[in-house]
Amino acid sequence: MLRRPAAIAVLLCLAAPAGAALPERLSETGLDGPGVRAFEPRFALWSDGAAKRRWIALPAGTAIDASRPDAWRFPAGTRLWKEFSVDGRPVETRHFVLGEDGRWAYASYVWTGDDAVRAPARGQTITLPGGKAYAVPSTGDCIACHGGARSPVLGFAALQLGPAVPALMREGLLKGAPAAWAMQAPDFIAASPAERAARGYLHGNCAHCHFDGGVPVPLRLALDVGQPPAPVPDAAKVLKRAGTRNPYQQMPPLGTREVDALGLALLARHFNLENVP
Amino acid sequence: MKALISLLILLAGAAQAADRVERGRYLVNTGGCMDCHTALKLGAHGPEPDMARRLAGHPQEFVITAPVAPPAGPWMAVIANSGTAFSGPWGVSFAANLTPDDETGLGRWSEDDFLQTIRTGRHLGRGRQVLPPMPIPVYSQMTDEDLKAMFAYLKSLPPIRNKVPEPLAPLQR
Repeated sequence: MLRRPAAIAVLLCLAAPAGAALPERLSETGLDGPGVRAFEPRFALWSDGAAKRRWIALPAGTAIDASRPDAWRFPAGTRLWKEFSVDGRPVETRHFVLGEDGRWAYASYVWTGDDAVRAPARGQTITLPGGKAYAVPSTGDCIACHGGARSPVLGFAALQLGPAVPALMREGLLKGAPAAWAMQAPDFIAASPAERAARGYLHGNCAHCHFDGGVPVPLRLALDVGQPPAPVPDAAKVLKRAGTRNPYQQMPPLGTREVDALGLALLARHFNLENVP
Repeated sequence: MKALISLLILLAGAAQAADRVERGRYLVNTGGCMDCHTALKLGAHGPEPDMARRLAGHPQEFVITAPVAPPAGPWMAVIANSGTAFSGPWGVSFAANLTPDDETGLGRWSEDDFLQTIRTGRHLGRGRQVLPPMPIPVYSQMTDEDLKAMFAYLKSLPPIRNKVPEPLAPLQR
């Protein structure tokens, strides 16, 4: 098994240059084609309040290797999309494709009229109606969050899909998965609804870096199927990092410019801390 | 015979590791790392590197709490008299501790952590940006082998416990 940094190294090497092979327009990516299914993770990543919709398409006749329950491996040809809307209007749609050669290609498409056009690989900043700045990520930003995670696909995963998993099992879309998943959704062990909500929030927002083998800091926020959450040694520090947008201290370090007040309150309640970091 | 072959392989591996550390020493010493990552002290002939703090970054006891405005005229940045803190449009950056101390330096870093930091210009390849004046655009073009050699050399140094502060944000934020 690759350690997280080694996985980043491999993915950086394998990432397609500047969105190569991805089309210029979103309408050419197959989003409206056959085999595309919508999904929604249970524990969403905070994106400054943007509304998000997500889709996945697996090549016909393929299945996801779920033999590592918390690190699914996807078949070549897998495509994913995530649409971000602000104030009811779509702003960008991010698109990942896993090539036959094992290379992930990443691109973002910025909406203009009835279609969206591929953004520069270096990213760009858009001014929304009303003057608010909106950052479209660079290809490097995509890799920073997705490249080193246990699986580059963060939202289509056992704990994120939870109750949707048995149906996938019955469809034959998961191979190597625990047989019990056909009847019982994978979950983690939570002592209370408050713990479930708070640790789910941390999983959705922090797990892609803070897992065993991830960043070399003693803080494990990723959840594992069938396991209770790992203890958080310094919850006040977690709250402080989540509650600032100082660019050098904030967590997550990219992808957000506004504090998630509700998320912060959720964490404060669970850890019995003041809400103001 | 098998034992002899195993011994030869071991010796070859050790020699290769020593070569790598030696290559790293050369690259670190010629690559300007000391210029920012070793604090200056006042010597008989003016400021000189404090070799007791070699590559240990900005001294933790030298507390800086806010960026400073640049002086009037065509100036962009100001350097602290330690040579390890830099105030500019990005706020204040502090030279990192490059010694292998577990808590405050590169002790827990893997080789890949180091490579991805240099390659991407992000802390650990995924965190905050590495700030000026760190010459990421130059070092990011080094070969994997050279970066691995630098890391091997840095890991061979005596660890120095020195907790470098987090960067400070610009005043206007």
